Amino acid sequence: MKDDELETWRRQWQGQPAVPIDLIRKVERGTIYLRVGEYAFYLPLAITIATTIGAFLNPNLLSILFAAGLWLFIIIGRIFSNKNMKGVWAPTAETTAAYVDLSILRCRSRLSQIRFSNVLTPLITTFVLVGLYEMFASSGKLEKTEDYVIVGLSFLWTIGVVSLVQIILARQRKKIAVELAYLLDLKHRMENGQS
Amino acid sequence: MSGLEERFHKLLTDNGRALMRLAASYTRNSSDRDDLFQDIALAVWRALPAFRGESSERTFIFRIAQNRAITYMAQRKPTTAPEGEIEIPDPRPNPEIGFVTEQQQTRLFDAIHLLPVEYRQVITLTLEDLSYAEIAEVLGIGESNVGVRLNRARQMLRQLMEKQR
Repeated sequence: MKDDELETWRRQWQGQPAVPIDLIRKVERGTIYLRVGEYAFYLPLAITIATTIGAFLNPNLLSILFAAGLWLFIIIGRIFSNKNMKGVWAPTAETTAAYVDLSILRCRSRLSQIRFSNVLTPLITTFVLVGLYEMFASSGKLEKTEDYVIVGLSFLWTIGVVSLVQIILARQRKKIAVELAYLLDLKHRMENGQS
Repeated sequence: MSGLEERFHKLLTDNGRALMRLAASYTRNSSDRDDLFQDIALAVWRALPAFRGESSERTFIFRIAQNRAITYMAQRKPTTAPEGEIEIPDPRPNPEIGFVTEQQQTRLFDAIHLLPVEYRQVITLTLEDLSYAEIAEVLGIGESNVGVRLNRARQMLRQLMEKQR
């Protein structure tokens, strides 16, 4: 009985599958993108901090509300990100299964992130543009027609950039969905012992 | 390719997977494992000219690998629980993880990882098909001591794997 046990362990030990190197590389590349994504969070945070400092230096209801609104978006974004990024940083074991599972988890996390961004980005953009317009208007910076034209064009440019980002995200979403379907199929085949 | 290079190449070809498994049992991620493996390979390359066949190539290479692994561990924080205080890591957060066969392998691998080093050495070498005599030679201990450690290692492994279920 005990020798059988040792033989079983020996088979399991020596049968440890080597994780395909390309899968490891792919996961490692993904980790770099995740880190970049984490650092990217600091840009809106810095803008929000600067806006808050501005609101303290020139306190008025509008600037305080604007800063508070930005903080609200930052907090919502952070809470979502913390929940969404749970478990996506590293495989739980050095096995092919764990690497495939991590890749699946990352795909799902990216899809959730895109869906979340589809909702939050238009909201933030609208909030920021309306807020800026109100602040410009109340501070008397919009006097001549050309001021309105400049502000209007800036807003249109901003909306254009945001729309472009949304289009790129929509295309990414399709690619990720295809990748996820492939990974799920791979996992299914591995579970059933097919090659 | 010189004779030395050929021998080195053959040694790594024949024992590469076993060395990689051994390196993995002392490390927690693929990059550390690869570092330790390279460290072992370099140590083998340096020691090879002095190897005169006093022991088998297998025991020669495993002795170097065990020594490098111990040095590697000494340079890093201990990852094993002290003897007699076996601890199980937190359960995995993702219930989907692991396929049946790999789950068993992972359980065994994780349990080996938690063994105190003297038992881990004996069990990994046993699982690599080394005889008592070879293990004794690799570790520089008596054969009877190998038997004692192996029994204790198996007992601890059983407990650890049972707790992981």
